[in-house]
Amino acid sequence: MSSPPETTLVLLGLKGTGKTHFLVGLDVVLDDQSDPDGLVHTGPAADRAYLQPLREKWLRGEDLDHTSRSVPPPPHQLLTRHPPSGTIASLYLPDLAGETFDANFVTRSLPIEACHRFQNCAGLLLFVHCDEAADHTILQHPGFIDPVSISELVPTEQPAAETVSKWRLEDAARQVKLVDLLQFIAEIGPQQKPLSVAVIISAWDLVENAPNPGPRAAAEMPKDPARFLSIHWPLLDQFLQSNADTFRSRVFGVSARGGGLTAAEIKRLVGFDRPAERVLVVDGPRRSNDLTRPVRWVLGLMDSASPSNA
Amino acid sequence: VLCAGAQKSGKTTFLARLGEMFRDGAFSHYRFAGSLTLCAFERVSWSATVPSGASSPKTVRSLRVENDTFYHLRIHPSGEPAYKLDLLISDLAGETFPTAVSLRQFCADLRSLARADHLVLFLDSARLADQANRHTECDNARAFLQQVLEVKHESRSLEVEIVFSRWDYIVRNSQSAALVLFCQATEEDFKRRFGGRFAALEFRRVMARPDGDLKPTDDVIQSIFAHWLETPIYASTLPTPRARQPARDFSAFGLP
Repeated sequence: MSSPPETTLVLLGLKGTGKTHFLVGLDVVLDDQSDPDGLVHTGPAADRAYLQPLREKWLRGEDLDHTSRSVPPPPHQLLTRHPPSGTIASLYLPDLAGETFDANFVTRSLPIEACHRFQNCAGLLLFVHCDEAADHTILQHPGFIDPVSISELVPTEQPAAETVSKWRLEDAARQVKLVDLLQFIAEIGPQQKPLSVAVIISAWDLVENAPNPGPRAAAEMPKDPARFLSIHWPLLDQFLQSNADTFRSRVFGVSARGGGLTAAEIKRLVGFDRPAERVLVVDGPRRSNDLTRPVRWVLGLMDSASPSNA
Repeated sequence: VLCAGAQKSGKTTFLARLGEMFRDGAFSHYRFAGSLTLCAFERVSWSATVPSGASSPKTVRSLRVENDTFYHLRIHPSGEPAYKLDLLISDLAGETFPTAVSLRQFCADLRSLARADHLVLFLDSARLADQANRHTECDNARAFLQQVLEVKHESRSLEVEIVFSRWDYIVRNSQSAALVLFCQATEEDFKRRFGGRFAALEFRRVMARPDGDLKPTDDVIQSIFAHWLETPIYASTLPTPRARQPARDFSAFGLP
């Protein structure tokens, strides 16, 4: 039997935004799918040298090693089937280090193989971490700051001489880097137009568990991923929505690991009888453990009640 | 859009604040759709951010070599994503403003001025609040507008906004009431001299990054931005339609 054509989905995100956790969590969920509409594994790929050790760590609740930029991960496939439609796909989700994208931004260039990948991919999974600031904090003049709180926080010694660092490209804010990378991709001219972009807000369990004392805090930390993106990553959100002819987008809150790294959290995570139930995917009002949901949306295998944000 | 004014009059801070407002989602009527100069906006804001190590917000000054370069923004009105607008904004380095005031040829050679639909002229309120400098500040601004009138083709198509920048220096001054009157008199003087000679002459008071406990006048900044976008762009009409197959290259517009 001939294998299905390979479908590439690009995991795009800066360092530490949960790309590898997503990939490994996806591999686990494909083997233990609880959603009848979700993708499932048709069988193991021939080469699992990259994914299998990571999967073992994930199952033990351990943190995953940071993906190396100097030694790119070997190719790997996820052989999948969509039971309701019978669609079979061999997915390739290259797990590139976040520094790779940082380097693309700083050097203002993309290697030719990256250009081809963006041109031919079926869509993007764009990662942002819920606990990272999209932008730099703007300084306030001292008059804005409560003097009582300053006196409590700041020792009364003479301040050291000020050293203002010179701006470098590396210093650009995260949402600026991501918007610029998307502009690169738009310029390359992907074959898919509009190109589907599933925005993954990772570590969503932190948002879910954040206390919301009062309406103001609730407004600043909304539990709806799309609303969260519009408040905390406005430049990225507006860019995607304004360019719906180039990028079709939808926002997902995802906890691919399922929790934190403390001993108590690890004990909780390994306590699940079905490890796939550690996973949390929030998509509008819908919550599930189906990590294939963003992938299905990109591939057009989602139910019709799930339109894009734009 | 060309922003002009003396050194440290707040031109670059104004532009930095524009970029910051798009990055923090503060713009209410316009949505960000792209920019070819995101890094330039980042650079001018950097010294006002916590990671820069600065103890109070600062702005890097624009350099002479940056004249006739542009910031780019692509935006659309909220709810109208198909109606995209590209905005090019040039920040005339303050160090070259005295040259622009005194040398007509310098102004004539400024491509950003030749192409501008809007001129934003910054009057530094810090200098207006200073008895020794206030008349020079006004005089230079008047002289610059005179130069613009001399060199700008179809100056009646140019929208001019005069910005009393760093307005917090007036608000916080112990002689605030008198200074406000002086600024009003300055406005009247500009209207008398230049009213009707440009497409429009408007006056704004802006604090982009005020000292003390004052808040930035983001609403005024937004209204200036909206004015750039909502003013119909004047398009020159050619006296004769272009001939598609002229006898000579130079005679496409009706010359024999």
